[in-house]
Amino acid sequence: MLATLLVVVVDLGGWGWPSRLHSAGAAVFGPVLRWVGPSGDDELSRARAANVRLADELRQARESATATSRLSPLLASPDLQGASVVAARVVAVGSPGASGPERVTLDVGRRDGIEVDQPVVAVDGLVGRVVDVSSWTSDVLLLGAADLRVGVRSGSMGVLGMVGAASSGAASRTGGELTLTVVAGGSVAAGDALVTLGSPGGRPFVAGIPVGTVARVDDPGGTAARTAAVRPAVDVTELDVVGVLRTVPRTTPRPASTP
Amino acid sequence: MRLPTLRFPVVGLLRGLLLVAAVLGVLTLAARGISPTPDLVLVIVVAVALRSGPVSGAGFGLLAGWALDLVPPGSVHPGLTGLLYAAAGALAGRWRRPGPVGPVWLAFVGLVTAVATEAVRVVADLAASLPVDWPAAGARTAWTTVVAAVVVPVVLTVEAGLHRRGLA
Repeated sequence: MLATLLVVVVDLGGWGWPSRLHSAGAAVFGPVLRWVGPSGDDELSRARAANVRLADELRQARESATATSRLSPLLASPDLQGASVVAARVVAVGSPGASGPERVTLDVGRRDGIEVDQPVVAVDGLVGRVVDVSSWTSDVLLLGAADLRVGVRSGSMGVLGMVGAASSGAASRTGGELTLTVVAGGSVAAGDALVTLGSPGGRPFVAGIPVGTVARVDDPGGTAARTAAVRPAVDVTELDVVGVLRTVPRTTPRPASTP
Repeated sequence: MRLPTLRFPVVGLLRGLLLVAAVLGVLTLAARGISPTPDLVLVIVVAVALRSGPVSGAGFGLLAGWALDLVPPGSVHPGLTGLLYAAAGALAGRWRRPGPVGPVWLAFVGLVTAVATEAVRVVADLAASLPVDWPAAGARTAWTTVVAAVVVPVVLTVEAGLHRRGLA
């Protein structure tokens, strides 16, 4: 019991080494879960995997078109060049908290080219990011987990903000809803679509992945930060086939635009 | 010459197998689209605690919680689930009664332990300003109570039978 208390204190203190226990657990139990979990070797699973791939190709095409129309060629980011999608099946869902599951296990791992911090998507949008990888399985921190916040653009104006699970103050949220915190000066309205802002090298998130839709804007109530309730694009409690985006870190300088 | 009798810890083996089955069940049922899932691990912890008392219940709960913390996908903060289930085992063990007990009493202990465990999760999420999925939390508690009312008497009966045969 004392050893457990020590591990909890060390982990909450941010020293980090207790998280390596996950790697040991994944190495031992990962193959068991691949065997016990639902198999993806049927026609429906293959069709769903194809849907995930097609949805990602469509998203990339849209993102490319948007970037071209807005700031071409300055924002023709090479982040997506060379990226590929690995279809995966959810074989285990972590013991849920009161706000829902925070982690899931996929049946793909290091041997499939999966690495930590790669983004995970479903047909409808963002699922989360890879946080642990073993030889045959990988663990994903889901959008809606307390420790995951995502930079987003909202609406047609591309207002910047952060989306996470935690709400501020008296703002009420129903189960599964997220909170958007808009950067100072920005404004959003109900119905605005949110997409990922993107990260350097496409990790942990590439730009343009649907995150959700603004459900309602909170009453500011004297606070400086403008917040809104967000309905996520993907219901993480009903995940089946997902895709891991194998992004390739940029190695070439970004081309400069000429007048 | 009389050979020494080998006492194989069958009860320990049974508890271990039940724990493995419960952990794999909890983690894979949701992946098969069954949601909300009953807390099968808590049910086994309650059964062991009612059979062996609060100290053994707490120890088994700690072990069971660590299993959930380590088997993929695990928990975000390793050790917290172990402490939660240790407390649940100690709580259930306090209601241990000598001799035969009725199914209503076992269901009551299962209900109290499930409610207390879920209440800790709710308070922890509210403290972190996370939105609580009340319908799912309520359904999970109800399912856990129902499964405990069915499974705990079976486990207690089997363990009592093994004890009478000297296999405990």
